[in-house]
Amino acid sequence: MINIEHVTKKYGDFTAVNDLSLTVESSEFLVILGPSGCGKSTLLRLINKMIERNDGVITVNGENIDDLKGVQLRKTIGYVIQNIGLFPHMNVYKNIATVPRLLKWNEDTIAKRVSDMLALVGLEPTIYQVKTPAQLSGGEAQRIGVARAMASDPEILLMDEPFGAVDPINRLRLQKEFRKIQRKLKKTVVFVTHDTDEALLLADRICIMNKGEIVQVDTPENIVLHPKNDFVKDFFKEEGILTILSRKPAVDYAEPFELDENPLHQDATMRDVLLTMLTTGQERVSLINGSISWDALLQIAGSDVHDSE
Amino acid sequence: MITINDKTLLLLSSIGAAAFVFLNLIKHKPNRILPGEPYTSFEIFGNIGITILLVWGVFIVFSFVELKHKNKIIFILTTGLIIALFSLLLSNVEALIDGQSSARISFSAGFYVQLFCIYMLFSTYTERIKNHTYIKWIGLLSIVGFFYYFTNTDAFSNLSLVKEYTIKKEQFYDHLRIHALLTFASVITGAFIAIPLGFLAYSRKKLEDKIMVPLSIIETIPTFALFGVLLVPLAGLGSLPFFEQIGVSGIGWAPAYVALTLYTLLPIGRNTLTGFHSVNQNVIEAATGMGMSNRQILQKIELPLAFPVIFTGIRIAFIQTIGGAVLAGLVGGGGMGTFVFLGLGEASPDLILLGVLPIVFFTILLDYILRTIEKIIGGIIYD
Repeated sequence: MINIEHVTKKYGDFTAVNDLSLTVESSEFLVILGPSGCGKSTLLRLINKMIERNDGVITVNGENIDDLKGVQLRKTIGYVIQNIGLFPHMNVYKNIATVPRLLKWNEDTIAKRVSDMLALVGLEPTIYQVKTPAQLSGGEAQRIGVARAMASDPEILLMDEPFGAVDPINRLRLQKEFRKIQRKLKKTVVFVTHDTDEALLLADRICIMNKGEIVQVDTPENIVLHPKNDFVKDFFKEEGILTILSRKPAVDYAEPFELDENPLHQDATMRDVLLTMLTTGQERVSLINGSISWDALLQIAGSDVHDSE
Repeated sequence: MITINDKTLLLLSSIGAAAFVFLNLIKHKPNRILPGEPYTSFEIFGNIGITILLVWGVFIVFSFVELKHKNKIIFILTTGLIIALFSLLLSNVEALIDGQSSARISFSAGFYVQLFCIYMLFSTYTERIKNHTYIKWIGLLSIVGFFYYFTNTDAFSNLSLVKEYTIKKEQFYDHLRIHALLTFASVITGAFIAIPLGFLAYSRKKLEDKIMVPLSIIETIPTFALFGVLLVPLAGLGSLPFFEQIGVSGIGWAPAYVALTLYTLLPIGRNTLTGFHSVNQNVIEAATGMGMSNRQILQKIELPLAFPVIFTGIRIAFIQTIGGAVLAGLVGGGGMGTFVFLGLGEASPDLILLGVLPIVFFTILLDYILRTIEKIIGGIIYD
């Protein structure tokens, strides 16, 4: 758990983060979203003491970070940045082993861990651990970056636009895989991005920032359906609802009404259901465990409205 | 439409052929002082020697055509050319000398230009046939074997250069040793000073100009002026007992050593700074974020990544110093410069060459060795 209370960070006359308070729950995936220069990266780097704040208190797992040395604190928090920063002179194994080695684990444990981490991010350990960063594609390098950040099994991960430099197709795959990993391992993640789709897809809660202050913190559904002000509304536009639908697995909403036609694949989302309706003109779409009607879809899209009111 | 297939080959073989036709090959001197009489390639090589010109001609033709084993053929012909050039020359000057002990042969431009072109061809095509290890080694060994055989006969003894060497044999090796010692001592001292300076300039942004500007200024001071400036303080230092004992004075090895060391500071310091700057900021950010201390970042990330560039600086300093050390001869510091300045004083070009040729040879050799070390170190640093 991370607790940020009345934190301020100034660069000369410029206030990057202004009297900001925020709590990140354990195992929560919190996305900090905002335009460039809104202070989101600064906030992230205040948490692991990469930069010192001017005012306020930050506690990580109940400990005031002022009581910890920056170097010590950072060894316990995973950190991934946009351009990954893999060490070009070290092979994948040594890159992933960096923090375990700093923590002086024994080499057998490290070898096992490196292999587990590679498997976790979907790369064949025996092939990849001997590769050098120069031999990796952008997507592979990003996976290694994530594996490296999680190598010492930190409870908290800080990520600064980690998928920003990956091509759109790979990005979507990485996002989905990472979301699964986070769910499985129950890591607390603070994830900075300026990509609204990414935020809606990944977040348990989204924290929208502007000019060093928080504008709104809430679930993706609530933020899209109940934007607090015009700034938030402009940020998401109307397509936000489509991304919300893409978070919902269609099978969870199936009605026991079998159709005599090819069903959508198992991983199809409500967004796929809508697209199928729009492209085929059908009012009911077949699923592996039943079907969904147009009326049901409308209700599901709007259900969050009723839930929160 | 004629297309040029191989520009390097065309250029070198045209120059080689032109040197054969238009430039004098050697000078025959009755003794050390007299200017001597020039001879062309045609006169020395005679009828057999026309084959050398033919080979140059064949190379020119080759540079326009596509041939299956062209690189191999050119490599073999070049090897033959080196052996032919020397053996024809050595066997034909015998008649010119005709047993006169004071007579000697000096090489002229025609010889040097052809030798240069052949050397360039040889190194270019050694590179191009690097996959054919057998041919390469047979070529190299036959040249080495040829020279080894001829140095054991007295075939070279008529050459003016060899005569100068024979007279100065003992001094030659003494000065070669001094030259090497000066070069290594200066570069190593320079590295010990300049690498920390370069690192300081990198880690303290404010100091960057304060360090780099003086280093650049030193580089612009002419050597003569620097010797002049150093004369007084070093003479003063030499009056202290300890320094007097180790031979420090306003002239001799001390000013040469100090000046050469000062000149190495810029290449090494500049490359150190560039090396550290070339380390990607993301990498350092990631290392910091993972909980590495500044010291660990320096040891494990910055130094290894900057080192290849720093080492290149050291290599440049070596190449620069090995040539620059000639100037030690000016202030009685010894080294190959002694022969150069003696030769200048006596108007004996061959004595100058006795000083210069080893420098050229060792520069090429050292550059090759250091580049190899560079590659090996790179292999160690990078997994």
